[in-house]
Amino acid sequence: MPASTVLDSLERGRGRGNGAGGGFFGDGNGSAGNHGGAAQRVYVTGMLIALGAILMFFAALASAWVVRKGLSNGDWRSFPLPRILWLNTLILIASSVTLLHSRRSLRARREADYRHWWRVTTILGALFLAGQFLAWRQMFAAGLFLATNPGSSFFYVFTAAHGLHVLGGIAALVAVAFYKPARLTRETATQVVAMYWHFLAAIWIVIFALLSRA
Amino acid sequence: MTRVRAATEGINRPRCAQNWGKIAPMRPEKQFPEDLVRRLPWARAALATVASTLCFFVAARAGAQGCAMCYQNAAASGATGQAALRHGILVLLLPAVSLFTGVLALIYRRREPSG
Repeated sequence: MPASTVLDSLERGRGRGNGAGGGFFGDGNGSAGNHGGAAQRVYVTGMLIALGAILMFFAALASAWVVRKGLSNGDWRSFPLPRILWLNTLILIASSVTLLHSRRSLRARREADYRHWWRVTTILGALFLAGQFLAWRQMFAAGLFLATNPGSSFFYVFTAAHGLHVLGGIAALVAVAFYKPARLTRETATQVVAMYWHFLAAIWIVIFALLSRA
Repeated sequence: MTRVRAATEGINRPRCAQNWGKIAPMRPEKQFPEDLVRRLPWARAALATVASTLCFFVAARAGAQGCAMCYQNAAASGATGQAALRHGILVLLLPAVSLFTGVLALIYRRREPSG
């Protein structure tokens, strides 16, 4: 066997063995192939670190909320949350489900289904943001502004911070939809974006539970 | 032969006649915790959990980290305020500890095999 053929076969073997499935949280299908498993793993690890940072950011906000509420000298006013937040929560959970469908379709090599569910996820994300905007409008109509009381301030800070992250997620969804696979494979791109999106849905459920307690 | 027999007196010898006089390789004595850990895979985790739980009982009170102003503020905030501070610290601690444990677990799972 010529040396170049041996080297090629070794390279192919390495690509398969260290595919995206070989990472910390690889998708198990070893899809990276010749793109290099270690390189694909870097994106997943990078996203995990980013998620850790975002988690700590929201934990700091939640901790501040708990302490401020407990230390209030009668200036903390409870207010009913806009009802539309329930609908928004359902929309975000639904978007997580559709994203799961999309990734499953990609693994099964059903291109049309993958694109369809990916588009539905993006639309649901945009709907969630529109719903959050409507919730803000309802708060304004009720005379609850950023500086009205500490409770309303935290409401705006939480929803704005989360909304900005969702906006970033929508941008990532759109970018992946039009992405031409290069160094970063489409499988890894969808995996990383899905991790981010599911994380945002989970964070929103915690924030909503926290705000509902107020 | 007599000398060999005398030298190996009291040592665990093989019973086979052709190996008479040869010293059987000593099996290393298994220490109690190592043996336990080998037989029960979760024993190490259980031991670590018990040890870390015991640490909580011997921990000294932090006393607002030695900052007099923080201590006075916390003390003056009343029972509700102190409870809020405690809960706030827990809310901040929980994700940090989870991340730390998660990273350690990942490093442990993905470690290079020795040798």
